[in-house]
Amino acid sequence: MDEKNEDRFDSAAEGVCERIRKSLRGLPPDVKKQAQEIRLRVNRPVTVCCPQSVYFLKEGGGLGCIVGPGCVRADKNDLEESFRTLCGNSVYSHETEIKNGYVTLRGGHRAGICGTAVYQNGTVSGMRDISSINIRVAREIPGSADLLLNRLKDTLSGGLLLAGPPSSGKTTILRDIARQLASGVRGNIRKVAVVDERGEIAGSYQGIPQNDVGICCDVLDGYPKAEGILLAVRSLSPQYIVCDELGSEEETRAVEQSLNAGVSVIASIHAGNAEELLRRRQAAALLETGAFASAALLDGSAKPGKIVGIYRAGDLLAENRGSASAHRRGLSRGICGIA
Amino acid sequence: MESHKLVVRVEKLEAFLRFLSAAKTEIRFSSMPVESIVRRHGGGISFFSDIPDAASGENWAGAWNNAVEKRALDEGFFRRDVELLKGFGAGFGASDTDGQLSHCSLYADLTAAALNDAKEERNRKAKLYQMLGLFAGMAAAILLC
Repeated sequence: MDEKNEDRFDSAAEGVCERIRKSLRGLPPDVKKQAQEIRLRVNRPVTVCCPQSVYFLKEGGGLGCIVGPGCVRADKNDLEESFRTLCGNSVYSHETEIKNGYVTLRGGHRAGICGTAVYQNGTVSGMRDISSINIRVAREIPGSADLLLNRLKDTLSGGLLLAGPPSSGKTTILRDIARQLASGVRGNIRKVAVVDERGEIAGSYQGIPQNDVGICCDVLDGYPKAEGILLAVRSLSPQYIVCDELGSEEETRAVEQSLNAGVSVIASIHAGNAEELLRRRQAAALLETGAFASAALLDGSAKPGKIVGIYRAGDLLAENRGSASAHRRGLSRGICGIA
Repeated sequence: MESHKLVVRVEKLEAFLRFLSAAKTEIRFSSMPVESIVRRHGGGISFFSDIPDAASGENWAGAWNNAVEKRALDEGFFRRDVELLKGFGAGFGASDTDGQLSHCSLYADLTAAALNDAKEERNRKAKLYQMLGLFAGMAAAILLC
């Protein structure tokens, strides 16, 4: 597994321009195994983000905690070359992704792109003057959902909302849930549809999923989540739909429709803790659809994949409405539910 | 020999023009990446096989330039065509769909103009070379008699 994670870092580094890639390739295997992000900012040092800290890349493949003369700095040309490399030298074939600020790489890695917005008819039509690139190394950790699935058992069929801050391992766990369900690791094989708007779950590249999402899994790659959910319900007859980062009203309506079609939804949402989750209007709206029997909360980026709590959706909603009974159950302390 | 070079140049420019037309179609209707376009529609042009795929991590525009420099002259393109090919490679894949369609159209026009010149040159010089060959043959026959 460690070797695979090392390879994954190298495959993510393929998106970086040749000059910087040489130094990234020279990093020690231990760093490659842990690294979560590679960040390039124009005229500033290249950084490698690990769970515990952020390090500066040095010429020849070292890392440092402070900015020094040996640090590799990315200039404008490096960013432009990296941008073209990330797009497979075909910028036009990533137009929609670029409008949304990211590009998906071979291997399921995602590169977030910052620059100056270009407007056409009042909407963002593209991006120019790329100023920074953040490559998130996609991790495939078979078994990362074991703990969660062991605790949820049959409750999973009632739907699950996975909440956590960025880099807390939401996508990795979603991917593993899809794999386990679609491969029959836990009982019967289930028909799973992955709605992979940003290509992070399956990491499809030219139609081929780069990550293991199971035998009986259909991947709707690049579909907007709302449209993808409805399409899956209409034409793929899934038992489970897995998707990342729900939030809009349109998506909430699509989730509601899938519930009425007897499909279980497993999805993620951004939230730092239970209180934040409750404060998010979209989260409450999603829970109120009844499509999620439970919600699991993940710890931060320092401990990716660690579950800090599993809650019943009803309890969370009661807490949101200020119900005294929910307080008595200790929900406000963040320990509750089926765990 | 010289006459053959003119014929090959016309064939190569026609092949490149066909490639540009196919590239426009693929970009407009399937957003196909440049690498796949080259693989699928670049059959008539040998220097395309020298361009590594995206997975190699090499700078693609640089690889295109190197391939053109190395192979295009041997393949039958003329020096002035090489500049045209390099210009196309520098912008191929570097912009959005509209930009790429304009880029392909511009280079299709330039290639069509080069093709017309090449055809005219072939027709004009082919006759000249034929006459030269005929006269040389006659002169040799007279001398031998």
